[in-house]
Amino acid sequence: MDAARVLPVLGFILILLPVLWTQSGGLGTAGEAVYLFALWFGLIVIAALLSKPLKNALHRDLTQPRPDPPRKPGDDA
Amino acid sequence: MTLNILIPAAIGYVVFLFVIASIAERRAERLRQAGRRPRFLRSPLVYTLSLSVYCTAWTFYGAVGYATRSGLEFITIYLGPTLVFVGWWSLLRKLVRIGKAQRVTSIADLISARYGKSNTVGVIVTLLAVAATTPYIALQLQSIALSFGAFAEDQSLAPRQLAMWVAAGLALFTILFGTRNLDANEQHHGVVTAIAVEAVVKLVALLAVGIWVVWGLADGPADIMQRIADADRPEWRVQPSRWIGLTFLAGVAIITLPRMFQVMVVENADESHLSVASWAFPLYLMAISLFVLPIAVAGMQYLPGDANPDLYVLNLPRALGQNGLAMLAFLGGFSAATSMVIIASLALATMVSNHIVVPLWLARRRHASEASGDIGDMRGLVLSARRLSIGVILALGYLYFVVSGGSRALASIGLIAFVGMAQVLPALIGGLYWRGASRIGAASGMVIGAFVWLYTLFMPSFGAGVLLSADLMAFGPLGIGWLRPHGMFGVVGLDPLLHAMFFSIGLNALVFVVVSLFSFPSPVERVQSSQFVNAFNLAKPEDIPGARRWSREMAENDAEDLLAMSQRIFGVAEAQKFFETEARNQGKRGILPDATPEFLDLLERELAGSVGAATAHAMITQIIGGRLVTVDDLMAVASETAQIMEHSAQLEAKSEELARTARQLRDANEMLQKLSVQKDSFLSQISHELRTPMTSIRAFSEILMDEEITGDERSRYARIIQDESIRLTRLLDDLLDLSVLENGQVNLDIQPGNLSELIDRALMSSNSVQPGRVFAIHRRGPEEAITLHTDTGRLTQVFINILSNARKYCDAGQPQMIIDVRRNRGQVTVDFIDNGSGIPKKSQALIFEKFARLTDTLQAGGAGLGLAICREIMHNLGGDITYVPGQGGAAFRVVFPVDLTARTRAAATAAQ
Repeated sequence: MDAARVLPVLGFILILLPVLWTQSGGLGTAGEAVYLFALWFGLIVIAALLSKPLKNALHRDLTQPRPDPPRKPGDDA
Repeated sequence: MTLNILIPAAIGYVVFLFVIASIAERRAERLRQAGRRPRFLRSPLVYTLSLSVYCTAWTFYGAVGYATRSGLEFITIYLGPTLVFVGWWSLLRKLVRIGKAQRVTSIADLISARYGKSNTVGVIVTLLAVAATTPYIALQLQSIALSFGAFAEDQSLAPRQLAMWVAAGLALFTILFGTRNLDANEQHHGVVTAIAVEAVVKLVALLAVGIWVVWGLADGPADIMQRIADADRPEWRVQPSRWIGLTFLAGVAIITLPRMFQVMVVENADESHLSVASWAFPLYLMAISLFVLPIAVAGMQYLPGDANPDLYVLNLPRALGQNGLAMLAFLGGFSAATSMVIIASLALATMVSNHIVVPLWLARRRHASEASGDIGDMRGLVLSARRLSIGVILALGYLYFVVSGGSRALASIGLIAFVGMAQVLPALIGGLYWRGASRIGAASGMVIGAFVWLYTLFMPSFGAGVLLSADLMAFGPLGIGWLRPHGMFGVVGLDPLLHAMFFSIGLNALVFVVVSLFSFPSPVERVQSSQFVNAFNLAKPEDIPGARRWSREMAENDAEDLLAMSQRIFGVAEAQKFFETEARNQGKRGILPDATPEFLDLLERELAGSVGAATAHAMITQIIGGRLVTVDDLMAVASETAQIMEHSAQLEAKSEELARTARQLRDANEMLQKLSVQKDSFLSQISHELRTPMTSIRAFSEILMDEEITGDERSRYARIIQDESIRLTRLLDDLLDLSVLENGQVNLDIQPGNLSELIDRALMSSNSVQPGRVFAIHRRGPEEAITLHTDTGRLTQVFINILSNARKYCDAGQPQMIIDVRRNRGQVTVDFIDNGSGIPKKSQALIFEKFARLTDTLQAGGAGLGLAICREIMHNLGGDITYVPGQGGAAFRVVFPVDLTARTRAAATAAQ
């Protein structure tokens, strides 16, 4: 779950990297293209790996009933 | 290759789509009749492919043109959606969940439902969507016209005429498959399947051209990378502000574009498909943009400098003699354009009919036929409204294409649309996560944002002098420089797109938040906002207590009117089935259920699936006479809830009390059972006790009757008989004494006495019991010298009993007895503590009961009445006798008042 939370933020930061490179001369369009596609593919792979466990976790959250209120002593009658 | 081949190919492709769509439609219908869900038609794969309607002709042709002009910037349009999809589980999942729960039909419907089912908000979003989508549709028409034109350089062809025919054809397709029925779920199997097929066609076409460029024209990836590096231009450098802004904008667009909302939320069959789409859709986007840069570079190299870069995909294979590939590329571009137009016009038509046409018509009918209450055939009306809307929307797109001249870059047109739809964002996000967001805030924010967008981006996009005069563009309205369309508030020099995006969304969000903070939401709005914001906490919206939107007082005859209305929308059979099911659920016969708030909610949700939340709400309101939930109703529900809670707390307290009582009863019962057992054993014992002296009396009296005994013997036997009679009498006396004491009828002989003397007397008397044993007595002299005023004889009897018991039962080798006297105000406490093994814990509760004996043997020589009598005596003396555990031996505490008066005695008796 936490990994899934971080992923979009991390992706956004990494996508912004070419901006910083441009400021300092840059890799050239070809290099940046390679970087971006590699990053893109990485994001897709991680999302694919996370999607199944995440789906299950979310499904569990939904279907599991909320815990009953704690029983008070003396309820045993 | 000429138009002679091209036009049949295009028509053939459209026919192919028709066939696919109708097959899918038939199959879905067959499965539905068989009671099954169309599994393949609604699989994650088809869902993901249908999402690719995001990739329009803009992507297919425009991305290459974009890359040729601005380098890598085109990629931001696909990275933004990737980020949104990678984080699907938060925002997208919530959207889909709410979309399903509220039976949402469009993005306008969603937002209007959130803000209290306000149709005003729905109208604003609809108008905004129409305004923003029109250029987008024009873009598709332009791309199709361009692609036809590319093949027909030598022939005279009017692009406008051609675009018109395309628009008409697409309108026909959308009307045929998009408005076939008025489905309660607003899902279109045929259209979605056709879109999925088109997604494959356009991907395959672009990949084919790309692979041909990389491995056919160039010598593989390394070579193409080299060529890209060589072709690098200064204007290809990444512009930081545009890079960030466009990534953000594209991320927003994937949520807010009406056609994306349609395929992503409305056509979604299962929430879990999102988890597959979360990686599969970004993968599709990556695949489709993979070869954009290589194609752009190849186009720059192989095609003349004045060629339109937007058509490189098409012209590159054509110019180099690859006619088959060119044909494939044409079809790919055609499918990209058509899929967008179909879905967008469908989505917009739903909005226009639900939020503009039907409400207008309803309002007119209300005036026209107030008395009859007849609302005519809604089904036909809604479907005609949609068909008409589709036509109007495509006509608008065509008009934009004609007015704008069809000459501008595809990407810039698309971005205008993006910024326009992004105006929905503050209201949408605010509505999903902020309960304080109000209807007025959302409406005013969107209106302000829309005007800023129109003024700074949309109208200037036609060029200076078309809609806005050149003077105004350059110097601002009335010469006010601060209001120049491209230089608001003196911000000059910024990219016009970013400028418009910043000011429109910024002002929109600002107004939205400020007005929301200062406005007061209506009750319906409050109910809706809680359902939207807390969408994940509820399995079903019906589960929220107090989430009713209808008040309680409903008349019986309303149900009939409701049925009449529903029949006009669902169809007669469907509506009656629905009503009958609900009536059965309510436990009623017949087909008319009671118009309870719950039923109205359900019916409204069903209707909303067909005509949108605001219209459904308005229709029901019209029939039942505006009995909407009011603040009072909400308060009533709240106090009901409070009462229930209080009631359950009381029940809990009661059940605790019952549990306590039950435990006491159980204890008492156990005690009774023990006593009953003891009583039985006592009875047999007392019979034995009585029989022993009786037997000897009888035996000796028989002997006496014998004449042959001597006088000496006679007197000895007579003494034995007398002794036994005395023993019998004593036993009977004890029993009598006890019963007298118990009934409180005893006459006390109250006289003064010294406690010390009483103890002395008791010690002396008890010495006769087992006289062989020697007890070490420890007494405290001074404290004992208390002058009592009580029944000293009875008190001494108690002392004797305790001391005798000690002599009998104390099992220590060198027995001791401590007699401890204390005086506390009017009360005297005398403790008798020996050093034996004491009384076992389980017997401590029993020793004072009548007939209680710790041992079954007759060693005690008594009948087990001693301590019972003691206790009764002490009660009669206004005191008590208790066993004190944990004193190192058997310890009895005798407590009694120094001065026994009638008053203390009465109090003591009453206390029992």
